[in-house]
Amino acid sequence: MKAERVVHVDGQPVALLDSDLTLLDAARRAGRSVPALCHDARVPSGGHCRSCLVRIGGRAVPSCTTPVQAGMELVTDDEVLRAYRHDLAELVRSEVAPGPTVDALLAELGPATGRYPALDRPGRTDASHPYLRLDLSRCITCRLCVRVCAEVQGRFVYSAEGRGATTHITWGPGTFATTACVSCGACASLCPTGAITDVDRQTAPTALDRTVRTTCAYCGVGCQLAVHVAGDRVVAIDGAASPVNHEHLCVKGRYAHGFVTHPDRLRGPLIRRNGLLEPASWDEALALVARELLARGDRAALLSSSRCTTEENYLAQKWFRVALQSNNVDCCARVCHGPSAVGMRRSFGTGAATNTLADLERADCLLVAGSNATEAHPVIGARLVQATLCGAKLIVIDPRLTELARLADCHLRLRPGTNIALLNSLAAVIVEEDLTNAAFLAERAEGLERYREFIVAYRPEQTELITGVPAALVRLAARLYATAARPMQVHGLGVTEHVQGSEGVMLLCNLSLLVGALGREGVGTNPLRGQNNGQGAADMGCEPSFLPGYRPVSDPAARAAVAAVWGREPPPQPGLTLPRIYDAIRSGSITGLFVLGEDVVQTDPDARRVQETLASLEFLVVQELFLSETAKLAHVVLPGASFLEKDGTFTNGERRVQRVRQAVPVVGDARADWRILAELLERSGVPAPYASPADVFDELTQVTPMLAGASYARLEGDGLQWPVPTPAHPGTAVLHREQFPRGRGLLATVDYVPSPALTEAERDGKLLLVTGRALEHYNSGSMTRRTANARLLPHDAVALHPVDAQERSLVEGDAVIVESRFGEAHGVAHCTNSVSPGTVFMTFHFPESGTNRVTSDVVDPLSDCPEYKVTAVDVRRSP
Amino acid sequence: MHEKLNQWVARHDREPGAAPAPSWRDGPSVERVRQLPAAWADGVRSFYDALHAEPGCPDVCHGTACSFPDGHAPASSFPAGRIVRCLGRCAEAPVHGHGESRPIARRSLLEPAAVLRHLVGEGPTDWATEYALPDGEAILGAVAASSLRGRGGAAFPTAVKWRAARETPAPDRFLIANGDEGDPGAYIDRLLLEEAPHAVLAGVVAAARAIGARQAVVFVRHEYPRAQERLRTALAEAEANAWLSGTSVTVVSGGGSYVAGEETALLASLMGLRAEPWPKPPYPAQRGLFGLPTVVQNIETLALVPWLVRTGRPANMKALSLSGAVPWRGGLEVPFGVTLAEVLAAAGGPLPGRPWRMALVGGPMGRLIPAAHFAGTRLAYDTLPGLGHGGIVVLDESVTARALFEHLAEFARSESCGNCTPCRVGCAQLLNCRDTASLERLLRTLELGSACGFGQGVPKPISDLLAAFPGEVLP
Repeated sequence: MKAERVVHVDGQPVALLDSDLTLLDAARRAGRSVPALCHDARVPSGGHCRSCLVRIGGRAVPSCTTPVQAGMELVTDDEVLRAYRHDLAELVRSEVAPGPTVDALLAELGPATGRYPALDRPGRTDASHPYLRLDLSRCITCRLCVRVCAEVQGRFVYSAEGRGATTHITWGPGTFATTACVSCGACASLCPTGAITDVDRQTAPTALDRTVRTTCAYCGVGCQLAVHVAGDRVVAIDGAASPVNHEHLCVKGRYAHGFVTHPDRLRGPLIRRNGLLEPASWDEALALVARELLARGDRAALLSSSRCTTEENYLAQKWFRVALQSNNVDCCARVCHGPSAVGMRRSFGTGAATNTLADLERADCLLVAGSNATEAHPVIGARLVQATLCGAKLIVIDPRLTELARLADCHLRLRPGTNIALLNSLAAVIVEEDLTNAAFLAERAEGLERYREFIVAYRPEQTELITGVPAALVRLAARLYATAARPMQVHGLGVTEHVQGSEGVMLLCNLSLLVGALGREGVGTNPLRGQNNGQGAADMGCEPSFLPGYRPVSDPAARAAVAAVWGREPPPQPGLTLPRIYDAIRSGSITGLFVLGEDVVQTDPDARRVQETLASLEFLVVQELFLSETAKLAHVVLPGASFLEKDGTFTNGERRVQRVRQAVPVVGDARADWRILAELLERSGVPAPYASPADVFDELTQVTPMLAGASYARLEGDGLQWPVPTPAHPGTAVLHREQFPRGRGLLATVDYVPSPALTEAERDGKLLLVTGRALEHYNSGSMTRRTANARLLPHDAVALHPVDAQERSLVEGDAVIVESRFGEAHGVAHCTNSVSPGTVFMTFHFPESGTNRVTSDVVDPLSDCPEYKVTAVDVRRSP
Repeated sequence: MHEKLNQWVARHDREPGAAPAPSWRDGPSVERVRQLPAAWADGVRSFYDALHAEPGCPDVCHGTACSFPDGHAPASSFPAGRIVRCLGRCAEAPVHGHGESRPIARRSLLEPAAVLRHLVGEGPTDWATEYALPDGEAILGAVAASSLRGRGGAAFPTAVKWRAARETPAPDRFLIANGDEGDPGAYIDRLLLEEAPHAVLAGVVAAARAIGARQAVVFVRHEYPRAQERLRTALAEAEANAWLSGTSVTVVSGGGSYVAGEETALLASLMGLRAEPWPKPPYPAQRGLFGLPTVVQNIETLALVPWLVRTGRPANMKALSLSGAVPWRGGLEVPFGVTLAEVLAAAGGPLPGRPWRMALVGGPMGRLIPAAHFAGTRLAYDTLPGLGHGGIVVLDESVTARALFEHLAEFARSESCGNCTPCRVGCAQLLNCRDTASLERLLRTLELGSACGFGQGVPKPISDLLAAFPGEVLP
């Protein structure tokens, strides 16, 4: 047994824990209230303010930076220290403007006596940013802002300036809005004096009614929020302590909550009468929906939502499968990470991230493929930046010069749509240069011999002409990846949203297999789920061929198992995927559609056609927060609740099931989505006696083997990572430790086939359009556009290379039209070398832009995921 | 944070596929500032005198010797110009600008001379001999046997520090020669760098070998352009003659900041960032530049090493820099234990008709010795911990305690790096204290709370003044 390490704090013995690193840690665990104005556990201590002085022997030392050692005798309080702290407080008072926050902070150290005259200090103020507010007359130069911006977000917006008595904080020469700030708000959350604050904090009442811990709904990272509530209003949001986000947040999670009470919110059901959507009662609306859909049976389809809770997704598919006997159940994961699920299931047997977010800091080489994480998954992006700045090697595969690409050891800037050729060429180098993990391959992979023969054709010298990436760079990247002790992949939609999307994922799996980077910490193949609950929706069987827990609907045993809980078997034949549902609507075989919380008219490709298709439906129901482009076409609109207004769970990209907790009441006459769905079940003749989402969760764990051991009680704290097969099981951070669900991992041989878009662009001299997200907005933007995030980014930009812009006589800020075979979109030209010549990048957050009217209906045949990432387009000035 | 910023800068704006540039160790410069994020660029530029110099504006030295020319109350105020706190030309005070300076007198009271051996004609005639040294363990043993302590001011046992670096497991180590001789009144390092650069370089190579470092940097303050030039010339000569035995040595210029002489602040300055001290521990010998074991060693200390190794003698001597109210001003090497009165007698006694009042020994963080105590003050690290780097400015009866206090307070206010609260604010409030008790309370706060030797040292000579001349500084 390890001998106990003991220190004495003011004479009292304290047994040290491994987490006690400094004297301050030890003193605070001993219950001593040592002041520490410039200390926060989220950032390394700087020892700037010197208020945390304690004595060891005769010496006074700063407790926040001094490592604790067994046997030390600490004195945290005596007359000398008290007099010292008081004088220090008086000095601080002389350099800072008085105010309630700083007065309260300093009162702890001693009363104000006016001992020192006020010093003439720079008192710069700034209110140029939509959220952040700065007033340096309140600044005590503790540098928490400098440290958190550098050490957590990695933006280096703040520094100390000047020397001697005039040393002060600066954000550089311009207004704050012109800085490199990404509005994460960490500085405002750490600032102890209110010198840096934000509009939420400024307007929040001093007395909060409660703080609710919940899960952010703005991407698949699953950050934990501390939502501060006064009355029925969300007044501010902070990050909660969690292994996912370590109290950090991004501009969406922290600030974009104003949409909840926006005047545009749907506050009651609507029914179309005489061509117009008119207010209706819940009773009438629900009766109509249940009647119309029930009557259609499997001629109806469900588009469930990755934005809704796991419980809601479960209820929605159950309703369709049991009451309507329809397997026409799909969700928006189809159009983003469907290929990850398909590809990884084929390679390993499980379609989910192999590892956990904590591994980002354990890996010594990070391969980021097709992910602009600093914008689309900002908290993971910040962790990737930090890992790189701490010495991990970074390889980025991306056609754009993203923030991560700028930091990378190796940026493989491929031509859009050539992932297959590039990923194969990386593997070819690993095989050719004998960098494989032979022992791992022998024990855990299959198809090696065939693969060896196959991959020779993809030497980087051969693929260079296809991908545009110099062979030497590919070789460098392959060596970095293959020789690392813990190489870890993360990938995004740049891999999946291609005609060979699923196969691209399988090639990433190949790389993990070749170097043996699976089944242990700090490695793996890890999709960054785009939406907050894409994982949960898929887990719940919101796919036409799978029941909850990925059990095939065609499997009689699986059907029998759910029937034991549901009382009735679902139909045995798989239903239709989303693109096939659209086909079926056009052919008239599907006439009714229920869309849960998605705006497919804005977000699905070839949007004009989607719009025409939905308009042709006999019966369209949309359950939404706002009257979206899709809802405008509906026959019935049901007003749902946002994540801040309901209970449930989301499952993040590392398979962590986390609680969503209601912070505020639902607006108006809107209802929590699970209540609406339960009511529809009842009205369709399926008993739904759920008092709360906890009851739904208890039921779904009975039909979902990988969640069998989970319960709301067990989700308290940091949630659980599935599989959790039994109530005693601790959850699973790393998959495939011993073997893969399919036995051996599959080394897939996939040939590169040029996308039709590439062929078209080459033939017709067109540009290649890549679509994606910007930091400030979330997908259709329905939520973020209705917050001050719209001031940070007010339109969809069309990023094109200065050379391409010049050829088209376009300059920065020009209104432009982007045109493809499918349609036209509108945006504002942004000339930048972050895109390569010949490529264009555009976001899709604003309905008026119509970005997805341009994208094609070409899909990945394995997953039916559309090819959002390459479309041949022309760009010209808007007349 | 420094290393993260380095990585961030090194990784941006590279050619595609190029490896990140090596971590920065070229010191503060305009080029470096250009690469930094906007706020950090302002932060660095505003920190260093050299980086925000107005073109054509002459440097006017406000050091102690120049503030009190000939150790006398000044007859006139300073000329206009950019204020620097010491140009190291105290022997010819008052001065401004970097123009042609007079040669510095030198003398050794030792037989034979040690650190000044080359300057008084006792060094080897052949530089190769100076560089020819045994292996690292033998050097370390000789240094330990000599009881050498750091001459920069802290007087830390040199061999203890070197052994700590040598024995900390690491892929590489650094030896940094600290030529940031900022103490007003001290110029012995300038003398050595300008006139015995090979002795310094031989010490650098010896120290690097002793700790197992392949790379060494000599950091020379911006105010010593001639020292930089002569050192670079000597370095080229040593490289051409293969005297460095594989050690890679570079010369880096400082940016004009007193606190850059503090060892961790110097490392930040080497990285081209603000010269602000880092929290210790860990000490640089364990975790320094780029996280690697790093020994920061003063120039005089290093220049002594080859002699100590060759002769096996104890390191019981100190080189002093004399200025102020004495006729002979220059670098004087003395044995430990000599009294201040003996030193000043060797410098020719008081100037005619100007009896001494006091002497500032060891600079603005050193000790103030009233004339009555000259005979009883023995110069050695045991007997006078404030001996510091050995600068001695002698002041005559015309200089009041108040005038020296104001001089010291002004120095403290403007040279504090601003990193820690007690020093940043406390130094600015020194002149605002209205009575002795308040000042004493503030001095206690500074001494107890400050993060480095600067704020901890500011109170020392001021406390001495209060004790020696009660009622003269404040009522």
